[in-house]
Amino acid sequence: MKYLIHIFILSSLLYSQKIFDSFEQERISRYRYMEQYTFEQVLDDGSYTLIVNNFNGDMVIRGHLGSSLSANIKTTIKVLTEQGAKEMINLHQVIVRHDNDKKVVQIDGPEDLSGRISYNLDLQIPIMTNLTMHSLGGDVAIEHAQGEIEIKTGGGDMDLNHINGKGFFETAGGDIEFENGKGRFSIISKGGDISIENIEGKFSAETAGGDVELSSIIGNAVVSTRGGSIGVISFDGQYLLASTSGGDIHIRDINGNVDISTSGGDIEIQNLTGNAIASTLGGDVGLDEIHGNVDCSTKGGAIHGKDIFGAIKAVNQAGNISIEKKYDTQLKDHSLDLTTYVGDIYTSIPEHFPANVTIIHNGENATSSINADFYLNEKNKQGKIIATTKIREGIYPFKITIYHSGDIKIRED
Amino acid sequence: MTFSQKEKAALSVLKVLDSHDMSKFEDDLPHDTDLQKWVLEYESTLKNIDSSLSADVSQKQLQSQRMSLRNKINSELNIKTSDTRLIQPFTSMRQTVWLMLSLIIIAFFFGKSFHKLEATSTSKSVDIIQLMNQGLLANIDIKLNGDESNPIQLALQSTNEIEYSGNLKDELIQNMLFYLLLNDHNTGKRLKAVKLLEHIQLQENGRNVLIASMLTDPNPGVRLKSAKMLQSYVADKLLIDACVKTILEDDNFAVRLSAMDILESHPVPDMIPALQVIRIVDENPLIKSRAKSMLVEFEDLNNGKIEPKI
Repeated sequence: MKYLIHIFILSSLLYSQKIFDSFEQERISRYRYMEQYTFEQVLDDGSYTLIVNNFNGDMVIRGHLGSSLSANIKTTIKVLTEQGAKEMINLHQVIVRHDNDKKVVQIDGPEDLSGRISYNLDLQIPIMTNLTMHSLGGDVAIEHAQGEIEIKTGGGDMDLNHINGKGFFETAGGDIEFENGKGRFSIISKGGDISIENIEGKFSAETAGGDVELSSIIGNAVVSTRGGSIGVISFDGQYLLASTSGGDIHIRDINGNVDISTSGGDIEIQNLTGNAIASTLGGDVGLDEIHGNVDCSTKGGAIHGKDIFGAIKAVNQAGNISIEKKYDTQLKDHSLDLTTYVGDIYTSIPEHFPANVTIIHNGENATSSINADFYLNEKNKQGKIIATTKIREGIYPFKITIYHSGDIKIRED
Repeated sequence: MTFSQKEKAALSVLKVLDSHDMSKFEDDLPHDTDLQKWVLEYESTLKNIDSSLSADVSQKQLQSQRMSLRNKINSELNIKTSDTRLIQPFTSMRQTVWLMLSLIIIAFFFGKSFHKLEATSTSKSVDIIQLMNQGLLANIDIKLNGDESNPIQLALQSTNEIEYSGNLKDELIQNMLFYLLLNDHNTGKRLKAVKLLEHIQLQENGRNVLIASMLTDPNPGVRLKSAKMLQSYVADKLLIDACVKTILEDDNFAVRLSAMDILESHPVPDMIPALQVIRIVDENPLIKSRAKSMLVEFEDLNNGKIEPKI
């Protein structure tokens, strides 16, 4: 008898507290079964973990202040008879458990999936609840959550809003939207777009195919896509690493160092305070208002730089380079190193810019190809033209190289 | 035929029916012509899938596939000998694994579209098409120039530099975008092309290019965009076959899901055998479950128990 009492107490703790269920026919051949579970003991102190396993369907999770967790499960059954629907429910039940000792609420989806039954899960949780949710498939929406959060779905979109803490979000296929968060996050889509807005902290975002958009980010970010464009607006942090296996990268209003690369696509950087490394295997590079040093390259395209206040190194295998250099005494390095194999180079530098100029031109008609606003000492060495001069103190190295063909024009503004 | 009969037939073809049911099924089969026909179709579907899954990709075989394809296209379209060059740039694509179906789609479309264009295009477009035919175009650059009437500017390089501006309704612009999508080595340009094409409802030839892109592009981002765009087109047999192939073969789950979305948004009975295959062989539980749900819809529809949705 003693053992029976123990078993009864244990099972009452381990198993669910279903407070409500309903069964009704929605229309011909369609039935709806609703279950609601409530666990008042779940505290809002970060001690509890909600675990969802093997669930197949959409999930909505909303955090609230204060204790109590409730789960609403809606099951839709497509069969001809009520009897059939009830049998289906029994065969494919979602199991809800509560373990007060381990501080866990666990929801397990049915082992066997039927084409006639579908589920939706709606959870109201204390904000400070840890989440470990693995769904076989379906969309996931989370609003207001804090703690250690791991969400994986076998396919579906994710909509995340107001999440603080440490988060890992992964969908096997679908778009991810994440707005308003603080903490460390890892965001992965095996295929789909990722949009991240208003995040403070450190995060990585990766998609196997799709576009990545970031805006209003404070912190550090590593983003990559195997095929898609990357756009960043308003970033303030130590570093931003962005790479795509194919697609354009556009970033603007950036305060921090950036390292961006694309295997094929254009790069555009606007209003950067920081250093930039930018490379494309095929596409144009556009730079506008850069307060820092730039190292950029393209294997085919044009490089246009406007209002470059720091040093610049630009390498172009086939295409033109045009750089408008500005002078900002706050910055130490003002060197220019511009190289192209085939293409013209146009540069404008501030008047009396103290440069140590070296121009190397290997191509045909090299002498007539060089046009500068200042006098150059030209020497012909084995068909290679080397032109040099010093402007004022000649403090900053200023080197232009053309390996094959192209014209050079240098203006003093 | 009932759903249960079809299910048993599918299981017998897949050799997973138990011995009792199998002997019963074999007894029934000779007396039911519909069932026999269905089994043959199902076996043929499986055979196609098996052969594509186990395709040997040796250069020799690829070459022979290309040759046989060219011959087939030449005979089907009655293209003159000189016009066979039209196909060449598109059959020398970058793919490592050649899918017969996609080749047929690509080549058929291009053979057809250029054949048509040649007769009607302006002298400027003929020049560009000739350059394309000869494979002399390189470094095609797409720019959006802000001009409202002709927002797309294509800069081409051959022996001379060429620039051509137009909007998406311009047939030459469309064809150049198709060319880029299927032929350019630069993933960024292919992506740009497919994103521009997103803004218009394409005719059949354009839809076929999207199908080819979904099936063959090496980049998952491009395949995904193409698959998503195909959701707005009516699913005929070609598109259904392409979706089934994608679901069973694509290594990117999002692309497979998008292909499933296409099947779901345009359910037609033709896809039932394919769904039965997917329900059994697909490795992903979500896709399996969605295939099961669709089969349930078909089953109910056949019994007349629910409102038709097709």
